[in-house]
Amino acid sequence: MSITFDDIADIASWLFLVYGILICLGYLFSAIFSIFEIRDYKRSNNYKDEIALLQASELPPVSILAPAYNEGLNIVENVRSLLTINYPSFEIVIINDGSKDDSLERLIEEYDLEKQDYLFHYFIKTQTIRGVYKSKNTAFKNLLVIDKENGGKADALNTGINVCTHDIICCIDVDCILEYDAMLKLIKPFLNNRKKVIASGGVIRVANNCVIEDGRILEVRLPDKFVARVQVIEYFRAFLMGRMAWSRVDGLLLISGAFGMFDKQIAIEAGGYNHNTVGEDMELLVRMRRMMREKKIPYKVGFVPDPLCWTEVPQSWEILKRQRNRWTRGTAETLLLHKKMIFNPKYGVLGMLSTPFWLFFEWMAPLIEFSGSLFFICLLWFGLISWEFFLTFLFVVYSFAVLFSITALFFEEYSFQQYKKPKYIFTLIGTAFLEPIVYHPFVMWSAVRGNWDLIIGKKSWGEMTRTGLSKSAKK
Amino acid sequence: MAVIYSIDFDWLLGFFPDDLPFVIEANIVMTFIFFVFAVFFVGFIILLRIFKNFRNKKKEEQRLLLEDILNAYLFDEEFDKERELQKFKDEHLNKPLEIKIAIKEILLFHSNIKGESATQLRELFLQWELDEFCKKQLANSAWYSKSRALFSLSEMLIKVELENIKPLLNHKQDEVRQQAQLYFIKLAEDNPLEFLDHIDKPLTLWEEIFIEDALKNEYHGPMPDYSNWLHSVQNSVVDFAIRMIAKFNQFENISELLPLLEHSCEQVRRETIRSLCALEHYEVIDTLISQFEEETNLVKKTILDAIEHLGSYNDLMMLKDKIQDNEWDLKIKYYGIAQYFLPEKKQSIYIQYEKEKALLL
Repeated sequence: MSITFDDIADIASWLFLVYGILICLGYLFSAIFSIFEIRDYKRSNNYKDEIALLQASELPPVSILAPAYNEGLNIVENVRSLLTINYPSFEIVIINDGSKDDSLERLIEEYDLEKQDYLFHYFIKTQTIRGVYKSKNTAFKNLLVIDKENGGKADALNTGINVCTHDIICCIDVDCILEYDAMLKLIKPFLNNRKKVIASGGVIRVANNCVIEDGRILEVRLPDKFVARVQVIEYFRAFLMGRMAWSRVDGLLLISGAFGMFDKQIAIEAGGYNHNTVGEDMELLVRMRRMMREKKIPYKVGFVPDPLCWTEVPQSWEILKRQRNRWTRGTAETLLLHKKMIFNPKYGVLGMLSTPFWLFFEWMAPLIEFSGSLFFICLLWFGLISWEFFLTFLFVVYSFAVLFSITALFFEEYSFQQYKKPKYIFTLIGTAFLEPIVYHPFVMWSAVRGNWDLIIGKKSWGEMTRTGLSKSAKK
Repeated sequence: MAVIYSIDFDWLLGFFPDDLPFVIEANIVMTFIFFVFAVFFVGFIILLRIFKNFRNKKKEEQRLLLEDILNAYLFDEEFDKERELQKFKDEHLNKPLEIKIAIKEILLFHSNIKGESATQLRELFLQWELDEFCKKQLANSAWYSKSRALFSLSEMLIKVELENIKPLLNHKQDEVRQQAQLYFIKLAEDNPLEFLDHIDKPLTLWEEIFIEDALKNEYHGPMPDYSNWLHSVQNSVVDFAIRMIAKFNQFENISELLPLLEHSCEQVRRETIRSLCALEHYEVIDTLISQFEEETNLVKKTILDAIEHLGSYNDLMMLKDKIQDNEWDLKIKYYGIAQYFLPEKKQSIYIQYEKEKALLL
């Protein structure tokens, strides 16, 4: 029996179809789980002002770890903003990761820092610490600055873990904007659980173009640039539909590196952040969960559906490309490091649902999509395209993509309704219609390039130039 | 899927040529369905926005009306209470939303007012029969109605048959359980923690914070003897009772606490040490030093904290050889406390630590 090209084309077409149906079903289920999670969360928040009570309570002290590399321009302002965090007991640990600019000098001057004989131990192996600084001014007594040799973000965070004093750590990006009660909300899963909570995360939002004053969001605005605006919808999809659903089934694999809380001891036992991957935030959580599962210790990962942290997203295509390239490598590296978990019933939901989902629908989706495009070119070359089939399939995929984004917008409207102006909603709807045509192919290509870079062994983060959020305040 | 299958799409396919392959027909139908859903959601978003705006406007209007009448009721001596309150009830307390806003507003006023005015608000709550609404909500099967009703009733100190509340202490929803606990405390005349004997799930730290707050600020009877719960089957209850003994300075219970230093639960042992420390029971130091070696890492840390607060440099020195070579977190704590006891030797202690580190690594 001989297999003709037509047979191969037929089989491939059916495989692409089955994959498409599976991915759509995956999204459909995540939407259903998310809406229940959002509904329950909304219903459980109608009582006494919990925040006021928590401010006055003896909550566990938290060490806030913020790595900084060449942040000299904004570091003083960013630290000042961090020092105003609303939480009863905390220390801020700034880790200067061998900056080439004057970050450290600025901090020393502004906060009256002096080098200390500080007792610490390298629980996790890191680059050498050059010095630990504390302020002579008691107003900044909870500020600790570590100066170390450059080793990357993961290494800087591990240094912070080694030096900090409290049992709960909160890892944040030094330039992100926190909601005034973000810490009080993020600690809640640690307090309100009967199982050991190893980590908790919250919803991250896009801060581009928002009006910011003294490190606080005064007015939520939609970014002017299309590329940033699409990411608003992407974040809705990722947090309000994706993570919300994973949280409901206790299958979260990722807590954003921009703002997440961890149990320090468990993080140390798991080995801290892995500096051999560019997706260190995802990898740490997966490793912590894997360790707990292997030790058979009941545990939980908390997720707070409230928008807690605002961050600047790439405004240019070039930076977006680097970011998505890195995200892809991070995902792939994590899945490869923990391939033992995939389809392994020993790991429960993580093994049977989360890791396979990430493998097939996060890591492989762009690759399959790209090979689908190549397949299409092949068929075109051999004149085997049935245009009726092609166009109708294209419309199905396009309409589903639009529907998925519109559903995410609906979830935002139903839950937090952050974009108050009616024109924002219409702009976002328009963006949702354009995204599959203009934005998605670019992101897919960036992910494919990420996979290529992974194969050739590229390890770099890629420079992430930021416009700087403080400029928005002048508006 | 069966629903979609049973819908007749012939009219839609009528726009296309006959004899289309099944896959193309299916694609056309799916595209249509997805677009219809997308348009439906767009419509829904717009409607939701209009509905929310309308509802918020209505809420604000109702809130302002309530603010006026409550201010007049509480502070205006010429206010015709009988007539005006009845008029308001007839005109503005008919729909569930209006009633819910009224409850919320009264609770808000109540939380900011004490004494005679608070009693007046409670009377108004009863006069407007808002308690009846809450009781109906309590009987509602939805957990969020139950918990909200419990919250309102407990804030306004309205008594309900305790037999109706008791089962809610073990409700499957955390929020209901928590509100039931607070109901028992707020309405108790004595023995506010009696409910602790009836709970079948451990208390969370979150619940403990709220219970402590209610005991401090909302309960007005005699403070219970927390030692009654030191032998509870729930370790979380024991843990909470130990902490409360220290918080409320029940020095008479120190002798009851001491045996708990050998409790099987690590958390209970830690809390016992902390409480004895808070109660400044200096005699415990010798026991802690003798137990140090057999303890877990977390308890060892707590013992070191206790020595910092109650002990001396000599007490600390007795632990030096009991810290294992690989217990670096304890070593750091140990040297840190040594620096606290001997601030003038801070640098030499640091050097000593660095030497030990160099020797061991």
